[in-house]
Amino acid sequence: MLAIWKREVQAYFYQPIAYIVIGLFFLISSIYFTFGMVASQYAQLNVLFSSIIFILTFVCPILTMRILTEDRKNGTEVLLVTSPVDVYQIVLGKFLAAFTVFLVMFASTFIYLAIVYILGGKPEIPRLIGGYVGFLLVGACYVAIGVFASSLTENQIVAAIISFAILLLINIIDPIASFVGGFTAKVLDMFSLLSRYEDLNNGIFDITSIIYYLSFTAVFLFLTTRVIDKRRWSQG
Amino acid sequence: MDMKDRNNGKKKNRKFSINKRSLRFGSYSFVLTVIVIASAIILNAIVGATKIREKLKIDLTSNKLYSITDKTLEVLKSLNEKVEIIGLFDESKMGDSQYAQVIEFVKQYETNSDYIDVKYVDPDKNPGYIQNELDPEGILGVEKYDFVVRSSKRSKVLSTYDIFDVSFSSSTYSYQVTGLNAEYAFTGAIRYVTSDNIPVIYYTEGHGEDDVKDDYSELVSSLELNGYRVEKINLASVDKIPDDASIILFVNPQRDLSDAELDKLLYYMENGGNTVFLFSPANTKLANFEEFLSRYNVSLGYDVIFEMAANKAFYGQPYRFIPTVESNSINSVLEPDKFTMPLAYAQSIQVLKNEKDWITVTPLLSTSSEAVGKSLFEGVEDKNGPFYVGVAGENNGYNDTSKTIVIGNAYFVSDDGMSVYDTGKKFLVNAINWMQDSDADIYIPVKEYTTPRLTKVTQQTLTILFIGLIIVVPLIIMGAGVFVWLRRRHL
Repeated sequence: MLAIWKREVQAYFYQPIAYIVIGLFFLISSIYFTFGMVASQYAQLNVLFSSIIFILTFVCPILTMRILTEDRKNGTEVLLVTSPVDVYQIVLGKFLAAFTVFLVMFASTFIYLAIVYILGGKPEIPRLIGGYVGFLLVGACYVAIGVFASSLTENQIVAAIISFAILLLINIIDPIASFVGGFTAKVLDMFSLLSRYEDLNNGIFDITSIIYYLSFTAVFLFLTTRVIDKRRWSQG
Repeated sequence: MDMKDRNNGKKKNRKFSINKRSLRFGSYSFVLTVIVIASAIILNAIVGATKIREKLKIDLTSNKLYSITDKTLEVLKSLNEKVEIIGLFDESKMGDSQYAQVIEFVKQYETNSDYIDVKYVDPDKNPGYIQNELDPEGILGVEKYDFVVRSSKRSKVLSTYDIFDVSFSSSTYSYQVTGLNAEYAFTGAIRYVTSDNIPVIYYTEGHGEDDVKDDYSELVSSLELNGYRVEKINLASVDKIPDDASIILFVNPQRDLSDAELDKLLYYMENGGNTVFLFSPANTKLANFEEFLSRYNVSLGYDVIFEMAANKAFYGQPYRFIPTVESNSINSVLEPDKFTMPLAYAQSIQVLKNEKDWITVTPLLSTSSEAVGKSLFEGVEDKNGPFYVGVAGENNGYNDTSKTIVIGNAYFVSDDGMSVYDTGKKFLVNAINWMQDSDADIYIPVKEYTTPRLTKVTQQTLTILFIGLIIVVPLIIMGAGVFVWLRRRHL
């Protein structure tokens, strides 16, 4: 698994894709940071997080679109699944590789924290940690969805579109739930990643949300192993 | 031929065996998938159950915005009867609005006490719920987005103004929510509705007052529905005002208080007692009453208001008019813009220019600037408006806050006076309810929405950040990508 992780991380940084994704993320975040936060003299970075989380909807599909499609396209998937490594290790290794790039991207926001302190801000640290943890967990879910989408097809663009569609749906679940209300809203809330995130970001550290995110990620990674396994068996 | 058959047979067999194998695998895989997803859902459902979930929450905000304090926990522990908290809206539609915080907050009451039940009823989907269930008399003034806290004894309505701290911002010229007052509101309401000591309103006799039980029966029943008991008292014949007196009510007194009565009233006031005065115009000087009212910076006008603004007065009867209901935290429940309450034959209430930090006077009712106050004493000139015809006073100069309400008319809450418009009792009951709030000996400060600020931001800072963060750093990152790509292209 470690070997797969290492190989995939290398692959990311040997190609321009990771740089472009991180650069794009940093560019948009910086625009929000400079003109949204600093210009209004807000010192609490949580304000920024809730504005920039939408960027992940675009960035994560790009990050994960080639993670499994490439193997199928190059025919290396057969080599992988017939190797002594278990399918779940392959999936986990690949997920962790994509998540590592996500972490690097995420780490770029620490620059903002440093700037906040330089500019005389004293943010509430516990709330900030809540915001960071929430951002990471939402990121993990998004990456897992991306990995799942890329297991479904051998075309990178199709994979990106599938995961983008799923993420878009997740983004509009809350407004839809608010609109319809009642029981439907409660059912939709089961898939609402962002309302839980807003709670965390607003300072409610809800352990059930953490469990929710981790199990959400686990389920999508599990589904990915099923897709690959199914293909292995149906190919004979 | 034989060979062919055999080959065919072989082929068929192999195909069959693959199907069987993949079928077996397929159903195994399907079952496994179902089990995994189901266990994830069950796990989340278990920890997501309200009681468990609330215990697993940690409040990260520095001012503990989402936590109830020990004071509330004490109140909840001492509960021994059911209390319902009913939110009058669809809670699943509140999304990220500030009500979402209140919904979160109220859950803690339910988690910490078996006696508290929280539910939400959308009045749009259940038309008639407010009228039939919560407020059959239309006295509480329950509206959508309010909360109703109720026990078997009585109910209390909490509006937006009770739950949030709202301040006027001079920079944006608008009202802004600056803090959460939910704990004070809900905990106070729970104490109020469960209190065994039913507050008593004593109405006085002995000064030519109207008979409240006979002529003001509608008002009395409204007060009783709001959890008060209404009793008669003769100040001259009691040693002191009873401890259970929540309010002393004077309805249209014609003669002055004796000195002894004034002393009893002052003693009562200095210990946090509340009073309500309904003074219809009279040409008898009420010196001791005025002495008492001066403790709240209020005095009587001894006049009759003639409202000369055509849109305010009844045609041809300028002494019958519609006063302006002032917008403030006391009147907010009434929706002052739409509230119509005619007064007939009212006197002005004056605010003395004796400003003290511990005395607050809040106007409740006023006239237009065209109104004229015709004096009831000979030789005294008429005065020009605007006038107040109703005020609320607070005196914080003693141990407990003492409140008073002084209205320049009594008829508007009499059974006769309310035969056309019955808004008078709503107005007065609302004002009386306001007097009860600070009686609670429990005080939970407003939780301000604090936002830490950056202190060293200049125009130059923004320029530097713009160049550094938005241009230079992204260019470096993406440049590195192009560099790697160019180098590896030739490998």
